[in-house]
Amino acid sequence: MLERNEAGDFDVEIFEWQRQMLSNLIESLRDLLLDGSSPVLRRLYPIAYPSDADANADYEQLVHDQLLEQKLAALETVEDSLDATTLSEAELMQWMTAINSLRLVLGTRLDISEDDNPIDVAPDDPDRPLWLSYELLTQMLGVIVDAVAPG
Amino acid sequence: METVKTVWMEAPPTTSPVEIEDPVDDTTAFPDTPWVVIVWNDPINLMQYVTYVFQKLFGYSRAKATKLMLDVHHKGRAVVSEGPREKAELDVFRLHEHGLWATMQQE
Repeated sequence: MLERNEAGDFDVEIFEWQRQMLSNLIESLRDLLLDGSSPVLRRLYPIAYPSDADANADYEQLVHDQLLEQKLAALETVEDSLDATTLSEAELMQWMTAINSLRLVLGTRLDISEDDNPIDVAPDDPDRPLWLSYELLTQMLGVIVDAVAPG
Repeated sequence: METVKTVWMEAPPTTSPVEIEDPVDDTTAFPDTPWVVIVWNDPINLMQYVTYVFQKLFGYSRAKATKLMLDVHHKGRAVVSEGPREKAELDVFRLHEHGLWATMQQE
């Protein structure tokens, strides 16, 4: 549940298991980001110039650390406000950044395609927990976008 | 984002829009040709999120942002902005900040 209140902040209600799942995912992503070598991070650092390797190297050098720092800051904000019942709009934006980053990394790890439906994943699939996490993140992101999107 | 802007503004005005390495590339002969920013379809980003990002970053109406998002979804790509190289690169960066798969090229 997420609703803008009269003060312009957002009242938020999430279940304890969701909070726990989010907390675990954040911890994993932070480790991946700080290590920096995993190929599942590639969607967080997209290519700007697909046909010009030199220009792209310059771009990458210019933006890489900023993108990294933004992701880390967003993860920290979510961790610090996990138990909050009210989020400022700025905090909610950080939640959006963190959750979208998690989806990009998990989706890359699961090699997701548009036809995949997390609900259909077999109960004995070793990646099932990841699929369920992905599904939770999808729902959370949808709720956040609905709450902040202009009319 | 501010830092990127600052770095660009301080850079000496010596860079041509495309480094001339490939003589068959006609675009190098037209440094004033605008750059276009393209967003590509991807299986991860939510449609409603993509629409929201277009509205937020470019100030597009819900209708225009939705149309662009649907172009991305159905046609595989859409041009979402254009302009000089510096503006295009800043737009690409802002899209990358939001996790969208954006590239730029001269057309």
